Amino acid sequence: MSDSESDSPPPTPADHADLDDHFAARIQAEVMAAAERRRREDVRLARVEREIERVWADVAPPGAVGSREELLLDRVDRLSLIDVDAPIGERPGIRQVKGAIRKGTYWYLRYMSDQLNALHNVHARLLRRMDERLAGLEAAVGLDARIETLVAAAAPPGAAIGRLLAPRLAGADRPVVVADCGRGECVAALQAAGVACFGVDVDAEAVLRGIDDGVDLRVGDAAVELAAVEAGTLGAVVLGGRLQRGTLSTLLARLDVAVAAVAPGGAVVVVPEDTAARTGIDAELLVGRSMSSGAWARAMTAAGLDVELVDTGEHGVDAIVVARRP
Amino acid sequence: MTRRPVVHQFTAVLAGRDAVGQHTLAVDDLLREMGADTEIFAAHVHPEVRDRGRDFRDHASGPAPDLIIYQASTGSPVADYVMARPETLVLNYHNMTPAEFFDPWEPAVAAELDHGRRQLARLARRADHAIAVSRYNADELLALGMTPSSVSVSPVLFVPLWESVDRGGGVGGEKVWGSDPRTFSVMLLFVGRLSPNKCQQDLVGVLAGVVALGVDAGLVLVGGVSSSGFVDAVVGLAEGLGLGDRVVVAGSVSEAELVGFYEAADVFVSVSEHEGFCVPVVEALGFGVPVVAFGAAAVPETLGGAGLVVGGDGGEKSLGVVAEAVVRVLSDPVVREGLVVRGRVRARELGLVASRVSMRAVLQPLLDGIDP
Repeated sequence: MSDSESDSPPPTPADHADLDDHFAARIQAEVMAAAERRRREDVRLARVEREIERVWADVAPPGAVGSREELLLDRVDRLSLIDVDAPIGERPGIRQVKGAIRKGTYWYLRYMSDQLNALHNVHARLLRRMDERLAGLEAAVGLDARIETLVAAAAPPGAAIGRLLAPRLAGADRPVVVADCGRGECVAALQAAGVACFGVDVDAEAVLRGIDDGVDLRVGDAAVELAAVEAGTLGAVVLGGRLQRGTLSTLLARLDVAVAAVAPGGAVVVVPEDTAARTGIDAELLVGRSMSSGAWARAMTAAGLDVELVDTGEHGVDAIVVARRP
Repeated sequence: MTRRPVVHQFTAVLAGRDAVGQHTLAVDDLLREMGADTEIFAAHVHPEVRDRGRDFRDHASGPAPDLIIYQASTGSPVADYVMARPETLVLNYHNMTPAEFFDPWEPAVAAELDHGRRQLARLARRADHAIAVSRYNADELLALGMTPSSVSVSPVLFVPLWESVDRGGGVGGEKVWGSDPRTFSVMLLFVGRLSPNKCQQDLVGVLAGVVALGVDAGLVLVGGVSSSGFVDAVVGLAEGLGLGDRVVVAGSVSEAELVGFYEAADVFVSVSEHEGFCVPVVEALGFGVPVVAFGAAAVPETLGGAGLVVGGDGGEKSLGVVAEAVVRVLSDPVVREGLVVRGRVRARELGLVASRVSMRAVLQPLLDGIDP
């Protein structure tokens, strides 16, 4: 056993008070937060991960390496450098025979490796062209991930939003999910009003702080989690924070996923940013990457939902869009 | 006077030590207790259980049963045979590894698994009822068109090793950490076939992370070999990372050795990407070994909150996060003790006694539906 464990005091019954329903969720969130911190602060782990990928690409067949084309190409490149090491004998005659075999083998292998190299080069060129085309397409539809790092992060819905939503979601007989909930202020307000609710956010440290405050939160990519939810099983979905940003096609697809997840009578709620409140640079960088309340309302009406706009009076937040499935 | 119902079970392979084999034998015992006349038929019967099973090719010449239960876990001619039979067919589904995992390693096995999946789709259409060993498996059957009312969930029946043997009698732990010169402070253990879907290469990656975090750890991989090329690659990865002396590929071991490994283990780590149930996880819980697992397929459901699940459910697999979780379990006695306590409770929930009650509840209506 590790030294750190033997030095620690043994657990007491009071420590096991932690064995409630949130025990696993809390430890998971703490572990993910610690891993995130360590990844930022400790370069050794990143180096170990790169080394694992490199060595695995060396020992595994191409199909098992995954989609890391550069590793695969690197491996192909090294495979093509064949080391010809035929043995040389000492007895008269044998030496010449082995030399001839060696030379013949060398020529043959060199011919083969040249052919393979030519094929690999064609593949590499094709892959590069495909990569360039994909990059061009991504740029054309605004998928450049760097934009997210250049603009101010979208704030998750706060407690005031939760209080506004509480009477509208109070009748939900299935779970309400706040997607991209941050540290769970909106979730806490809904729970305080008696709404059965939990939040999901990819930011493990924020989730951890919320769990410490006693809020039911889970770590995860809310967009992925929503897509995995069985159809018609949620009472309501609240889309806020990062989830109300994205290209128009992304947002409309996200709306479809949310609508599918809620049961008839359930609600899809969007808490959009107020695009008019953005600063000049943010406004410029976020062109075409969000929708106003009016645009959300029109999309939801077109999807067959009954839409209500709720004014918040909060700076930076447009009217909340509450849409119900008939 | 009413006659006893006759139930015949079919499986591809009947063996005493694999999960499907143990389950088939336990269902047979249960059916007999419930008053049925039973027989087991398989394409291959291991010598150790020769007195319990017969070749399925002999079945057609014998008397017809009232009910057929097919234990589905791989592609097999047995499935084609049972589908052609006129009797009521119950599909007991243990899941099948998707062929993609084996494509780069064992194309022949991949083809067999692919065949199995296609057979499964036909079985789902033909079967009158299905028993899935996990909710995850049940969802697959529903996706194949079975109705919710025709699918029941009942866990795998297996002999709980932690109850059925004399504890402390194992030799596996002593073999590795005692007489073997490779002795480390911490043993990470995984039990399961050396197979691409179980991702033992990622366990080597986790070990690398744990060692990089300053823990003097070694990794023991127990289980038979599904692909020798895959095993060579896992060993090659360990050697390439300079961890060759910290990884022990124990292979298939005796029951006593297995007990020894469970007793010597500090953490059971699973980064498997496909499991229909995962009996070794339950065994680890039963032995009081804390479990850290990647949350793929049925693993989170089997753990039921009793293990530390990181990632999965569509999320990315991060070996760094798994390594962090392992270190947390090793260094935090409250977390460790919490997992051990919950683990023992969960192992009881999935133990033979509880699972037999569950299976009996599923089988009884099926037997009641047979005309006397």
